[in-house]
Amino acid sequence: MPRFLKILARNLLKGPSTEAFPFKEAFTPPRYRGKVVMNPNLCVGCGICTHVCPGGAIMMKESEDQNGYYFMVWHNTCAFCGSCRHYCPVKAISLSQDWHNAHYQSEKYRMVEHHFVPYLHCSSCGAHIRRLPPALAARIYSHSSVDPATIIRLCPDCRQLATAKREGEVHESSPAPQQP
Amino acid sequence: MNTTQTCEQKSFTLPIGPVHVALEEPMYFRLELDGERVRHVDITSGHVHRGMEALAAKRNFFQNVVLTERVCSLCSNSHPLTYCMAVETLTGIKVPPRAQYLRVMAEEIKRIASNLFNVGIMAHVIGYKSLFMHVMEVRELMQDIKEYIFGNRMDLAANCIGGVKYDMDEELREYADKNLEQVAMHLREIIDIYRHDPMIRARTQGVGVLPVLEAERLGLVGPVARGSGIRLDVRRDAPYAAYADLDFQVITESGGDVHARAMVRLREAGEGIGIVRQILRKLPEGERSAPLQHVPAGEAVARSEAPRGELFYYLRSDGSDVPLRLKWRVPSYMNWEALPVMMKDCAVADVTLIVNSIDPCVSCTER
Amino acid sequence: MSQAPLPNSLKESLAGEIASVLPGEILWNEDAYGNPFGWLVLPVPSRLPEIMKILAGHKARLCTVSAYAEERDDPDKKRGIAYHFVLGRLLFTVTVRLYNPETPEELPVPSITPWFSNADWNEREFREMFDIKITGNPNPRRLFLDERLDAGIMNSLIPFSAMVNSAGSKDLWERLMAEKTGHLSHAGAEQPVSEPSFTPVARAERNEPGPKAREQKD
Repeated sequence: MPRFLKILARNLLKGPSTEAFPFKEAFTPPRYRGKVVMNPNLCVGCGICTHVCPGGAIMMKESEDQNGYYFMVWHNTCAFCGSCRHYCPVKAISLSQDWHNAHYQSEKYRMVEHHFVPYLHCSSCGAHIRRLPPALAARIYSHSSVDPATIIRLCPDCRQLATAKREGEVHESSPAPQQP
Repeated sequence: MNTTQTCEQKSFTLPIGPVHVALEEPMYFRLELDGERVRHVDITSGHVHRGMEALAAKRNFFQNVVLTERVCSLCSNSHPLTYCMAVETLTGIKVPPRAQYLRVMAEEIKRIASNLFNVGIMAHVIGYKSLFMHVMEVRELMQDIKEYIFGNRMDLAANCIGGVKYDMDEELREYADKNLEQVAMHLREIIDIYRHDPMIRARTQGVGVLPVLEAERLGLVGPVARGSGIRLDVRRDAPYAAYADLDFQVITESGGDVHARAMVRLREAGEGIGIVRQILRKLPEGERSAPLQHVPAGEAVARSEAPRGELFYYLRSDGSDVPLRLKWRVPSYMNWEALPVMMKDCAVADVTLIVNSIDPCVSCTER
Repeated sequence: MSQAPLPNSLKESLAGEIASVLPGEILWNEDAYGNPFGWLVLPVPSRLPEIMKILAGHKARLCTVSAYAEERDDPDKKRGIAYHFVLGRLLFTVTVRLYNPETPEELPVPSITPWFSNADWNEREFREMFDIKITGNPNPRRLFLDERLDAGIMNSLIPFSAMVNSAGSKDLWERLMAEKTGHLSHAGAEQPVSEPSFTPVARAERNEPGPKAREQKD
């Protein structure tokens, strides 16, 4: 017992250990796994996040006019496991420090992260294409002879054509750079 | 053993549970009493059977990493780890060294917190509330580490197939080091109190004794077996992840009683701190996960040492991206059968104390 | 129990003893850390006691028992049981097939509790979850499932989330889209999609109405 009295006295001097929340902001560590956030400027629409999501909390669906796709996370089925963030090849998904999830039942369908990601139009043939972020294009096409800035505006078919054309020109040793 | 008929005055049946016997999980005990002594124990389980193994056969390999982490809260990290090990063995994925060390770190952080929790609850059951609160506050330092490094107080989301999802940097290393030093200091004091305090010793020594032969007959594992002097520890017997490179002791006690099991858990928390500190010092550089591969048809098994003992996973795949069968067996599964042995002729007042001493996990047992 | 024999000598003596009662190959493999695994398949469950005698002689510890079905779509056919044993570092699995081309009926399994008393819970579990017949179990009571439920009932159940049309269902996403974009996303759905409702299985069988409270949920 005397052993513990020493600890008891020390704890008494230390004062309360509990946080004053909600009267004071609670400490949230920087790596806290809170609500999922998506950056539509980086998304390539590969859909790996919907495949790995354990609760089926992520939906990707093409819009009726076929001009782009919707991306939606319902926070109420999200398990905050961070699998979508881990497997996202372009780091478009991150987990915020926001853990404020309490809401009225009537607001449950508004607990979403929602984006519309529009398709681009191929600068050569006009077909719909998914966005390819410049950084990813530079990585994938690092060995290509065509400028990545050109490639991201082309559909896969026109990309092949442009590369073939450019390769042909290189073989004919014509040094003129191709600009669109 | 039917004493009810012979002396009505002294013999009766006492139901305990199913709600909140020691921890907040349901298990129903039907005790046949002779005065204050327990003569027979009957256990009824199944209150939280959730059909998780059936669910696992409807989820793909990625989703099951997270599903298995939700089997249990206290050993939540051991489940996805062992599941991933089974998938990796079947697929032939080699996990990079940095990931091996990070996996062990997550395991040991969970073990320290889990053991402190159980030992704290023991003080609570005894009625030593101030000690209970102190141990829980020390455990809070571990919770802070989990929240700071992994982003959540219980579900670390550390593992993925082929490696880990989290990483360490200098700032996290310093934070963990600082908190662990605190925990180590407190743990020394706590071990001293649990070992010598006359109140704790009076309530726990010689209570709920589990003889070695009974432990072997029932196939017991983990701190329950080690409290009876059986040196069983998967980390040492069949090393996995980075355990073969790390220095630690397999803790055993000889008493076989409630006190011995608590001492095993406390001393193992100390070993856990030692392991995490070694990892913080010599964490190798490199990749955090291996590239993904197709999971072929076939079967594989894996086992690890969860805070409560040996955790086992069996995986059967038909070559699709959803397992055909995923089965797991938690250490608590066998430990329940040890309770009738431990409770034989014990006092009614010791029943909850003995139940707590196997560190039971009902949601793990029933899945 | 503390010091396991060397895996190689153990492997040889195990294989030798098993070969003396049963022709057939034991498959050996190991994981990335060098932990050895042994796999033995028995043609009929009646051979189980002979193998159990050998394993008990080696002081093996029964790790657990896994019942399984070989075909995803037909959980009642082509079933088997895998018995997992620990011998020091070695994890040894004995698999028994319960089906046989000659007999249409599934073969019963003899209890292994005479050699491994912790098999009791495992046997009771696969008996009630898979409705596998077992002979000689000393404690044939229910383990998890209530007595009033049929054995093997879990095979016919569907996940609760699917039943109540929640997580990840089409209906849910349409509601979420409607909330976000102000209209329902597919044509022909002028009325708002109804709140997911269901009647518990048992009540539906008894033709009883569901509780009123369901209708005014929210």
